[in-house]
Amino acid sequence: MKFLNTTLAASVLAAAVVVAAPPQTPATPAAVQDIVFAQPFTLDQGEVSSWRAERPVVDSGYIIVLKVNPDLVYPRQSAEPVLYVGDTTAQRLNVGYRSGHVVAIVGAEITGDQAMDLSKVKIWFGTPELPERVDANRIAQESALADAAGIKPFSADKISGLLAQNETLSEQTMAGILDDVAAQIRRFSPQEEEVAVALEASSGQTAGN
Amino acid sequence: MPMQFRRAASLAAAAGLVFAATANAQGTCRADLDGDGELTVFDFLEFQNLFAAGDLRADFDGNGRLDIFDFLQFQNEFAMGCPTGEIISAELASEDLSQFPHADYVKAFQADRSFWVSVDPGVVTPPAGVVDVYIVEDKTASEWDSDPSLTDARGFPQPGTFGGGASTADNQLEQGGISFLNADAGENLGVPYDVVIDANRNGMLDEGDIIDGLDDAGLWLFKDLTTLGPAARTRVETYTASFPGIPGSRNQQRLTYPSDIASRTNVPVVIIAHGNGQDYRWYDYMHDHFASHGWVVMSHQNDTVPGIETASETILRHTDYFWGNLGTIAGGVLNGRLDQSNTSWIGHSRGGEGVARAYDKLLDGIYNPVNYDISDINLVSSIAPTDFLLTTRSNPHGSNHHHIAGSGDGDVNGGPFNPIVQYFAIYERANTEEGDNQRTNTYVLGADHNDFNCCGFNDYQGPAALQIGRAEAQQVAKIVWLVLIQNAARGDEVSMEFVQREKESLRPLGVRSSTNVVSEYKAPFDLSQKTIIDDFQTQSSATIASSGATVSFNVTNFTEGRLDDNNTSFTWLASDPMNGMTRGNNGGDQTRGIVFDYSIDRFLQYDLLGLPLYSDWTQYSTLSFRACQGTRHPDTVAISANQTFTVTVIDGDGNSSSINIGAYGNAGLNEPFPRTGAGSGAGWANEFETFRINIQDFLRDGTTLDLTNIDRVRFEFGPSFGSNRGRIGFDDLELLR
Repeated sequence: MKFLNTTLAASVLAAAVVVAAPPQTPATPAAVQDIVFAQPFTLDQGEVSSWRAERPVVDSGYIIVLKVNPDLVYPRQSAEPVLYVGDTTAQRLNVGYRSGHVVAIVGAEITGDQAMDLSKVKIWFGTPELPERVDANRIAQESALADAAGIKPFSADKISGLLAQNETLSEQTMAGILDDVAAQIRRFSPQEEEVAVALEASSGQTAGN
Repeated sequence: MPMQFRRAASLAAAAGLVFAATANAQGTCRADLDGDGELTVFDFLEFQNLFAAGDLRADFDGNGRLDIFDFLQFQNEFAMGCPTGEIISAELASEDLSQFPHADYVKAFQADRSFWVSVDPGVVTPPAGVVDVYIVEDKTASEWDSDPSLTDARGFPQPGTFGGGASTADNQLEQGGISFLNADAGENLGVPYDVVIDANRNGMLDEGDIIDGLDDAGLWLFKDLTTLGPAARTRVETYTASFPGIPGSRNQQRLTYPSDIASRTNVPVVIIAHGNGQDYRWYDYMHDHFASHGWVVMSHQNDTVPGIETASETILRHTDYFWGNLGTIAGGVLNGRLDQSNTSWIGHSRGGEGVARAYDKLLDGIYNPVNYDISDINLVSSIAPTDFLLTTRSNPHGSNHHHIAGSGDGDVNGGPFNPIVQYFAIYERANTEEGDNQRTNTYVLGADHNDFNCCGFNDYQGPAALQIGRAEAQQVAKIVWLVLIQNAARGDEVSMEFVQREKESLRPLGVRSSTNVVSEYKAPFDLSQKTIIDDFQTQSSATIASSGATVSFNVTNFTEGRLDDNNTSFTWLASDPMNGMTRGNNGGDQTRGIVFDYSIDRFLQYDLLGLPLYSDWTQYSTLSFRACQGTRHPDTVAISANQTFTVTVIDGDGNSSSINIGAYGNAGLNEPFPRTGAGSGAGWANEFETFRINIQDFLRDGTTLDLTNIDRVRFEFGPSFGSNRGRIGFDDLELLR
C-alpha cells in the first residue's frame, strides 16, 4: 500500500514531526540530587540479588530514597544508567521518572568493621549497562570515573539526621520489608501507586494466595 | 448409484500431469433400493418388501415410523431420479484481481466485503446460460451424498451468467448479500461455507454443477477478530508466586480465565512477560481478548531492570510456578482443565528478548523446569525485543516464533546505531534450523513501543500524520495473536491467511483501511515440506544458488552478503550496500540475502532444468520469497511508492507465464516508512515482506506451461514489468508443498 500520494507525502516529510521523543540519556557519571530517606534493615534469611554479576546474598542493608534527575531514570529498554552506592549497585524498586524520586535497596553490612557508612560513600549513576553484568572490577572503574567527576558523598550530618528518624527494620525475609518500601513509594512517588500495591501484595500485606 | 465427482484441474492436469481426474464420492442414491445403479420397478418392489417387513430402511421421511408419508417421499425421490453425470469439484471462491491471474483463489474472507465466484475456463468450462450461485453451510462429501439439496445461507441463491470468454476475467460473478451470512464463529474465528454453481437451477447438487468445498470448506467467513469472544471472564487481580529464584519483589501473577472453566478441557495457556519499566497489569487487553476466546492468560512481574538473564530466569520460573500450582491458583479451578502442551509465551521489549533467551535456556539445558518442558512452549512471540545477548544466547532456534514491532518505536527503535535496539535480529535467528515450526513477522507501521501495552509513555517517532495510536496498534496485534495461537493450539491453517496474505489482499475487520501492516511468513524449515531454491546461506557465489541452480542477472549493483547495515546511519552510501538491513546483528548473525537495483528493464534468473527436485513443480503448491525496498536509496526515493515487478516461470519447451506481484491486492513491495533520523533523508529499516504465489495461478486461462519441466524462474524488473526503477532486497526463494 502506498502511504500517501506523492504531494501529500512531500508535505508530510517537510513536517516530519517527532511527536514525543524520549529524553536523551544524561551524561554519566551523574550525581543524585539528594538523599531524602534512609533506613537500615536486617533479614533472618537473605535473598540472592541479581543486581550485580556476583549475585550476592543480601541479608542486610539500607532502604534509601533519592531525588534524581528524572531523565536518568526514564524507563528504557536499552541500557540505563546504573545506580551505584559505594562499592555496590542498588536495587531500584520503582521507576521514579514522574516523581523524580527513586526508592532503592542497597545490600550491605550495617554493623561491624565492614559496615557501609552512607556518609562515606558516593551515590551516583554510572555508565548505562545491565546491572546483572556489573562486577566488582566494573564498579571500581565506575567509581574512579565518579571521583574524577567530583562526585562526593553526602554529609555526615545529612545521613545521620536521616538515619536518626528510623529504627533498623528486622524481618525474616526480603518480602517483609517490601511493605516499608511501598510506603516510601507512596510518600515520595505517589504517581506509582500500582507499584506500591504490587509490593504490598508481595509482602503479604494484601490479598494474595 | 453414487454421485460422480470430477476434480477439476488445469489443462496441464487434464493432460495427466497433476491430479487424478475422477473420484467417486461415498454414499448412494436412496431410491435405488436394490443398488443396481438404476431406478426400476424392482426398487418399488423392494420398498414394498421393506415396508411390509417393518424395516426402517423404508422410513424415507425419517420420523421413526412407517406410514403413507414414507411411500410418498420414496415416490418423490424416485421421480426426481438419481444423478447420473459428473459434479465438478473446483476452486470458485476468490478475490477479483485487476490483472492476470484475474482471480486469487483463497479461503479466508471477511464479512464486510463481497467476494467473487470465478471459473477458470482453463480448468472448467463455465456453464452456459443463467446459473444460480449458492453459498451453503459447509458439508462433508458424505453429507453432500446423502443430502444434495441446496440451501443458500444468505436466504436466496444469486442468479448470474458467466461471460463465457477464454479468460477467468470473463467468468466471474460478484457475490452480494455477504452481510446476511453468519460469521459468528463463537470462540472460533471463522464459519465454513461451500460454494456451488447450480448449472441446471434445480436446487440440487447434481450433474453439471460445480462445487468449491466438496471435502474441506470452500471458504471461511471470518468474524471481526478484534472483538471480544463470547466467553465470560474471571480475573484474579494478583497473587503471589512463591518459587525458588523468583525475587520477593517480582513474584506477582495476574490471571484471567473463562468463567465456565469447570466445563472445559484442553484449554491453551498464554503467559505474558512485560518489559522494562512496564507492569504485569498493563496487558489486560490481551487477557480479555484471549480469555473471551476460551483461553487462560497469565501475566507476571518480570525482573527486567537487572538484565535479560534475570528476566529470562523470571519467565522460566513464573511458568514453572504456574504449572506446578494449578491445584491452588484461583482455588484450583484450572486444575485438569488446561493443555500444558499449548503454552504460548509473549514478551515485550526486554521481556521480548527474555522469552527468546528463556527458550534458548530450555534448549541448552541451562534451566531445567520442574513442572514443564520445552515441548510445551508452542509459541514464542516477541514484541519489539531488545538484543543485548546477541546471536548465541537470545535465540529462539526452532521455536514457533513471532515478532511484532512498530515502525514508530522510539525506544527499541530498529535503528542502525545501536545493536541492542535492532528488533528484527531475534526474528532472523528463528527457523534457521530444521524443524517443524514457522516464523512470522508483523511490522505495524506508525505504531510505537508502548502501543502494545496500556500505559507506557508515548514514544512515537515519525511523521505525525502516520501515527496510528495505541488503540489501533492493539487491534492489529489482537488479530495476529488470535490467529497464531489458534494455529498453534488448534491447527487452524485457514486463519493463517491473515499473516500470510498481504494486508491489501485481506483487510481485517476492525482495523482501519489506512493502517499499514507488513507481514513476513516463513514456512517450517522442514525439507520434506519445502524446497529452498536460494536462501543465500550455503553458497556465497553470486552465480550459484544454495540449491545449485545457476543464477544469472543483469540487475545492477548486485551484492550478496549478510543482511547487516554496516554503519550507524540509514543515509544511503554506496559503501553500505546493505543499508537499512537491521537484520543480522554484530557479525554473529549469518542471515544473508541479496540487494540490487535497476532503472531500465532488468532480470534475475534461476535456471532449474536438470535439477529434478526443483524443476518438477507439480509437487508444490506455492512459490514463496521475501523482498523489500532499500531505504533511502536514490531509486527508492525516486519512485516513493510501492514497488512492483514480475515473476515469470518458463518451462523446458519455452512456454512461459508471468505474474506481476502487484496483482494481489494491487500492492507490491511497501515503500519504507518515511521516518527521519539516523542520518539524512527519510525512510526507516527495510521492510521485508513475503509473497506467496499459488503455483496454479501460473496456469490460469489455460496458459500452457509444463509444471513437470520448469526450466527457469525469472524475476523481471523495470518499466516493462512494473515499477520504472527501484532498489530491492531479496531472500528466501522457496517452493512449498
